[in-house]
Amino acid sequence: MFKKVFTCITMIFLCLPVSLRADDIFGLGIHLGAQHNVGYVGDQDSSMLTDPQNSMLLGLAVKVNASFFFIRTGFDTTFLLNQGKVVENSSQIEKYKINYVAVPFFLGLRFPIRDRGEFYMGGGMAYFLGSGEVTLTTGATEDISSVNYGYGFITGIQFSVLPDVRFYMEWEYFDARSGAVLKTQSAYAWDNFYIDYTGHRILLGVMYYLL
Amino acid sequence: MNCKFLTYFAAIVIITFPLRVWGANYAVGVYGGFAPSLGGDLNTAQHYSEFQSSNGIDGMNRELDGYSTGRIDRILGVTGGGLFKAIFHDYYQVRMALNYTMGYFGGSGKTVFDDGGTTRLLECEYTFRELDVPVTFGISIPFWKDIRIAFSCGLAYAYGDYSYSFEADNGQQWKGSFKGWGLPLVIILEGEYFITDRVAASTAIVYYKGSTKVLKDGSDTGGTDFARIDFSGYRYNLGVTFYFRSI
Repeated sequence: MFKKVFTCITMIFLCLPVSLRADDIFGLGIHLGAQHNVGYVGDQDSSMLTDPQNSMLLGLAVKVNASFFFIRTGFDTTFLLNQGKVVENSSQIEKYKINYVAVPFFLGLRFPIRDRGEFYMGGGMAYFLGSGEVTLTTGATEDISSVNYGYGFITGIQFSVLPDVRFYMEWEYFDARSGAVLKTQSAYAWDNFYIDYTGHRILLGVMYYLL
Repeated sequence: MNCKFLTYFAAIVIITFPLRVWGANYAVGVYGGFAPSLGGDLNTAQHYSEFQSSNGIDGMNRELDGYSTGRIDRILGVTGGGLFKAIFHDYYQVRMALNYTMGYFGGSGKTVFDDGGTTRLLECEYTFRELDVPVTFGISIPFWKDIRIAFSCGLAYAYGDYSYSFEADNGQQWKGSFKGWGLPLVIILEGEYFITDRVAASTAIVYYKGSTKVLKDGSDTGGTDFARIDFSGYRYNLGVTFYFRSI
């Protein structure tokens, strides 16, 4: 399967009629970002009121351009800014923190604005390797973890500051959830709590074009 | 219903043609894409009253030792459609489209629920289809002869068809079927890269926000249920646009 996809992508790039610019093919970037309401825990129970978790993101970006197409991948890892707190609820959660590593893959169109930079939009998916801690009202702390995938999009803008260096800002959105990983209610015997990776991410970074 | 759609669509197209007086340019296009979380959480009244879930399909995801459950993902939809747009005074655009979106992945699995004190296995299946006609107005900025970036917003006439089917391990069934229309808000960010002077590769991120009013279940199996059809969510599209005149 992977070989087929790789071959198809390679063929698409080889067949593109427009010649590639030497300084605009392969870029490596590093970025910082943020995500509000990590975990969307308040959405898991309509009677739950939460102070949502906020996280910072640190990541590496790999961008491959070919004519007006691009592929954007890399990885992001999160750092806790503040834990999520459940203020009033009918569940058993008191606090929670969720961290994850995301490996996104986007394919889309780019719109180079001469030598000044570019605008781009793409769709794709991401794998999430998540873990966290949920503190229950009993005082017990439960570890949670999951590996999941989700779908989303990216849109970004790059601005040239040096011939091979660009600032970039990106808006990513993913829709992804795990299965049930923990029991946080007392009425039934089953696990009900899931990790929700859904949300918007804003990233700011610098990209160096190697090729 | 389809006749109404076509009449409105044709009327709007005809209405925009006098813009030609101001040097308007016209374009038609086709595209395809995907829509994560189609139909939102697909919640209904019976999800809570019968199956102990207050947040629809998300709350139906449960695991319990001794039961062979399988995750029920939200529905990933595939979408396709055609568009017509008029660009006048170089920077302003009116855009109309006709989209069909249907569930492609997710929406089925096994869970457990409490049936009057007995925990039972429940097989679930959700389906969702949507037809919508968004009409938006906005700004379309050309960058030389290569690129157009557009941002527009407006409303869509959206018709949804949502149904679910649950079967417990004792054979008991629940079915729900909801059909209705709404007028969700639509926001579109669009980019076009001109391959020739009149043909552009296009891409768009589209956001819908809105739902139908509360609808009554059209199925008799498993009692009467109520739900809104939620059109809210993002879509990503890739396509081709053909301009009648060079930009």
